Amino acid sequence: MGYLCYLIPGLPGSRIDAVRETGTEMRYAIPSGTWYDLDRLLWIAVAERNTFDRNEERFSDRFSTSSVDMVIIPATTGQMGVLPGHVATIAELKPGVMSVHEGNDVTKYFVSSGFAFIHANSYADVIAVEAVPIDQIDPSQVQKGLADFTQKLSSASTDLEKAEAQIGVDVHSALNSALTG
Amino acid sequence: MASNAAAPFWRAAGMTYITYSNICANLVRNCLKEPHKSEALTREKVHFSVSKWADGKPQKPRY
Repeated sequence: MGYLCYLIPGLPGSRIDAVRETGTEMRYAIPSGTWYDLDRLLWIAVAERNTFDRNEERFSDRFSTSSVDMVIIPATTGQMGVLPGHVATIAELKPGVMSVHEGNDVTKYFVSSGFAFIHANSYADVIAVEAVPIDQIDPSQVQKGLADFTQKLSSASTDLEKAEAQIGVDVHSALNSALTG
Repeated sequence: MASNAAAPFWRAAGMTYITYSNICANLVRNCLKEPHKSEALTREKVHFSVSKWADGKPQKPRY
């Protein structure tokens, strides 16, 4: 069972025949930038971009293409600084802060998870489902979430519940460090 | 590049990457300040319809 699903943002009428499984056909109409549940070996990353579709809302352009001096990305292997001329790399990102350095300006975004593709020609693509400027994060919700999930983690029974609670704790701790760091 | 030796805890618990990523995104969306939060919640919406096929014809959609 292999599923392949590709959404091309910007095409008029983005209703897509997403998945064909024996006996069931599923059709998805979704805003761009959404991930699909797929067979574990296949996934498609969709960058959040400007979409102009008469059926759907217009999303603000969150990731403009721009030239910067350095980007520090929260890879699963640790904070990674990417400068022009960086060796081509694919890095999986963990929930954390991505900081974009342009001259003396630093803009920080909290990235929920995703990937960074660094190409050999000094281009880097950072793809995330959610990336928010740090000042849009609400500290009280973060504390509440952290407390909730810590409690859920101690009371979780099945593997899946434990995994979900652990994800909750990880994400909220990362949000917390983003706010205080 | 990370080795394949230790699967991440969510993979070991049977979760796919997409599920993990969506959970992370939902948690982050819930922690936003007000005007951004409502916009973000609209991004979460997924519309779909499911119909079972029999004899080469779709039957009544379930949703």
